[in-house]
Amino acid sequence: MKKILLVLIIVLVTISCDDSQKSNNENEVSGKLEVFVVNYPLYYFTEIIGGAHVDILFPIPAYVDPALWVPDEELEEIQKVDLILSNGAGYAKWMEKVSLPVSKIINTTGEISNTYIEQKQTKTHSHGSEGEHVHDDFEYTTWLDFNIAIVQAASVKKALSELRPGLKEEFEENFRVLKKELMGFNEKMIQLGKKLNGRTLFASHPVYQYMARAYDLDIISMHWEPDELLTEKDWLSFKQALENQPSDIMLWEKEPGNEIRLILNELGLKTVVFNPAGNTSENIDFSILMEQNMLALENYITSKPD
Amino acid sequence: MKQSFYLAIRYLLFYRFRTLILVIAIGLIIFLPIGLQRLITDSEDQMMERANDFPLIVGAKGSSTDLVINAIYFQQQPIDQLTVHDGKILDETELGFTIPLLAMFKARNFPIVGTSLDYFDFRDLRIEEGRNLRFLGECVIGATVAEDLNLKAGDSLISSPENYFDMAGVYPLKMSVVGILEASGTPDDKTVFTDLKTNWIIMGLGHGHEDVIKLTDPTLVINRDSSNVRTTSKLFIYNEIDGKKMDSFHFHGAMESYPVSAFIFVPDNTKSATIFRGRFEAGELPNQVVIPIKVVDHLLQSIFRIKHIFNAVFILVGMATMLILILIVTLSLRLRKDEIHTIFTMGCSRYKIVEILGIELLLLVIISGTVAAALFYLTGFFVDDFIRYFIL
Amino acid sequence: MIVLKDISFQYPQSEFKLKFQELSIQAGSKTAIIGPSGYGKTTLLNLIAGILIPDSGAINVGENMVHSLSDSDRRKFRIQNIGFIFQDFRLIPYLSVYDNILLPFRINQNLKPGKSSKDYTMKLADELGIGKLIKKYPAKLSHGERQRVAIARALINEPQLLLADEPTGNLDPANKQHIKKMLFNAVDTQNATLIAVTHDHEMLDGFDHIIDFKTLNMNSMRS
Repeated sequence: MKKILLVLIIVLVTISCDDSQKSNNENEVSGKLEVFVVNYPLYYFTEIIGGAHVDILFPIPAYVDPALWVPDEELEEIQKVDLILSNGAGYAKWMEKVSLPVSKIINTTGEISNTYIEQKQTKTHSHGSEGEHVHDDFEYTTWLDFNIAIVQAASVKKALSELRPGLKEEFEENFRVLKKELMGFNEKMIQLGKKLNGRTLFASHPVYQYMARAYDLDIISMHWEPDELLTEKDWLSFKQALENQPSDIMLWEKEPGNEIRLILNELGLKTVVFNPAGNTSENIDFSILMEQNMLALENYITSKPD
Repeated sequence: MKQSFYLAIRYLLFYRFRTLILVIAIGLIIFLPIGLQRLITDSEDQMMERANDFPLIVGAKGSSTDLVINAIYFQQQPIDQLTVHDGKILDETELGFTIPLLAMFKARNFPIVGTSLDYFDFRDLRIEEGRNLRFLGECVIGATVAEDLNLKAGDSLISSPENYFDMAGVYPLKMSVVGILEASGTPDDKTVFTDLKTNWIIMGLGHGHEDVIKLTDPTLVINRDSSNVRTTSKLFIYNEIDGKKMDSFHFHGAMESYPVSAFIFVPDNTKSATIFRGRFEAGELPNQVVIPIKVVDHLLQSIFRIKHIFNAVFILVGMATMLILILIVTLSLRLRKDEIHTIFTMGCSRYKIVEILGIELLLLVIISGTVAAALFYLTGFFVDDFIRYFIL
Repeated sequence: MIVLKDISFQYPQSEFKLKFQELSIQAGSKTAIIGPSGYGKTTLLNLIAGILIPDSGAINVGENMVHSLSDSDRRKFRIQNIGFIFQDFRLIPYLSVYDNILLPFRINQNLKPGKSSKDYTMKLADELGIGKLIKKYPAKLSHGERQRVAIARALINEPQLLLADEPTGNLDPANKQHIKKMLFNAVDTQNATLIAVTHDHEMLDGFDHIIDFKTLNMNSMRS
């Protein structure tokens, strides 16, 4: 009887040890990384590179520009993640006003921060003893320069690899695939840039600066919203600008209202939608969005031979 | 024996003033050396334990003792400041990660320490009431701060305008207390924690004000042209950050140049720590890195050398006191000669007489011992003050 | 019966010597010993009590051969058989009237049981007129009150023999008589033998026998 009991105990102990060992292994292998991203391009990069090994937290509603979004209760979840991927260049100003675990923040453009484009401020102000100053800002749609996008993707890969060294090779492989895609976009934009050389493009919003610099595009930016009616003064001002810099194309982040489009047509401008893809609202991924953007430009070029 | 106790107690109670003096004198003689020893030992243990919790501290070159005292005990010391950029350089070594600390201000005599959320994880500090920091202008306070100032989550706490460095342009900030930490028995209990950026706002590196471009009140604008708007000092600079005002808060200049008192460096492993320190020694990295436990050990050794002098003094004083006490007891017996003769005459044995007198003395010693024990116990409550006023 | 025979006693390093052939005192009697100071009256009391041992001779108190008892036996003999009223009362200053009365029981627990009860103490104190002073301390008492406490203390253990050294000394005449009366009543009640040393001739009334030390015959003295 005693012997049977002893054997039973040994068997039970062995089984429980096995179970715990197995569950430990399972945890190590399947423990997903919780990653917060500040915008959709980083979401896309992380999704491709991280694959099944990441759970991405991107709580910004589809209709909100992530650059202007401000968290509230979401902050509690953000503070708990394993990794926070920021865009850099002052994107998501809210990060300056909240408390985050700094050791978990990776600035994906940190490596090229010396190449940030400064915003052109039209007015300074002064108060107290400080003298004239502006609230310094940079342009932040860095990923539209696909070379920078590759740098950002590389930062994502590096950050994930440091947290999961065992998956480094897999992340590397995934990054290679993404890089190839981004390099393809880069090449296409170079070609488009060459074709648009000498032409002035207007933009509804100042979001194409990195693209302009990278692909040698002459873009003049307005501060228009697609669904806002413009005043007489705005149109007058625009017409003057048009007179100084003749153009037949205006880039929009999304389709403008009919009225605007008609007026632009009258002024001889074609509206071309080039979605910066800061966020996505159409369940269309980054790759497809960029393809669409470049196709729209291509179509414009084709329809307007030199 | 019971009757002898009775007589002894009656004697001590009747001459209560004399008994009290004797008890206090003997009690103090017993207590002083052991009390001091306890203060020193407990202080040593506490300080070493705290120092041991911090692997490496990086600060500006100068006194390593001042650096450590500022960084881990949050006592304001005259140290030069580093910048955020210095921390970035340390992070780029990829040998560990940094936690910034900025301790320049106080709120009602408690130090305000600006840091990041990493500090709470690093120190395993848990929130007992409320929540942790989320937004600018919030603070999380230690258990002692909450108790002493009678604060709870949801209350406010205003920073003091005075600061160690006598900086001008410091703005008292009304902070929201969003959380109270569990007691940890460390200097963290007596600290007001904020985000580093909130400290910068107190310094005046960041602020909120109305959009000057949109100002219409003529008393706020001195002049305005196409490129600049100059305002009067009447322009309201907020001293409280809340939801609506949060949007207007901003920082001037590059954040990388903003000050930090010190960085805690948490190396990935022992090898990383060695390599990291090696880089400082080789001059590859600016500033200085210190191992807190070594600095504190050195500090304590210097201070506690005095302990031996104190002990020698206590022994001498103790001996003198005991001699005086013996004299008092002897004289007291002489004065009681008639009493002793009376009870002897009445039939009390010599043994019984010795027993009665012996019990009197024993009771004195026991009560004195109890007094000494009580003082010894109370000493434990003064360890923090001893550290603050006599060591730091 | 108390019998002292062929007693010779001399204090060490002193010229004083007490020597007499025989002295007998009847049990239950009240005997006064008078005489000038320095004649050995207190010494005689100490010899009878066994506090001092004669250089030679025999002292018998009842069946106790006091002169031949050991130190501890003499001590036991005293605590069990003798009540002392000292010349200067010798109350213990830090004990209350109650505790002073009960002192014999505090210093020796082998006394008769039951006697130390509060009731008996209170009864005795009431009889001597100090019942209301039971909680007071000697320093707060008058001369006469202290004398009564001393008497109560001497009587608490119901001794066979009461030795009183100047029991009415320093009291005013009215108090003297009062104290003497209380003392005699207590002695009569307990059927004890009283030997009182006094130099006050006005207090000799009522004593059964008077021994004048000045004229003490060295051969014998019977009372």
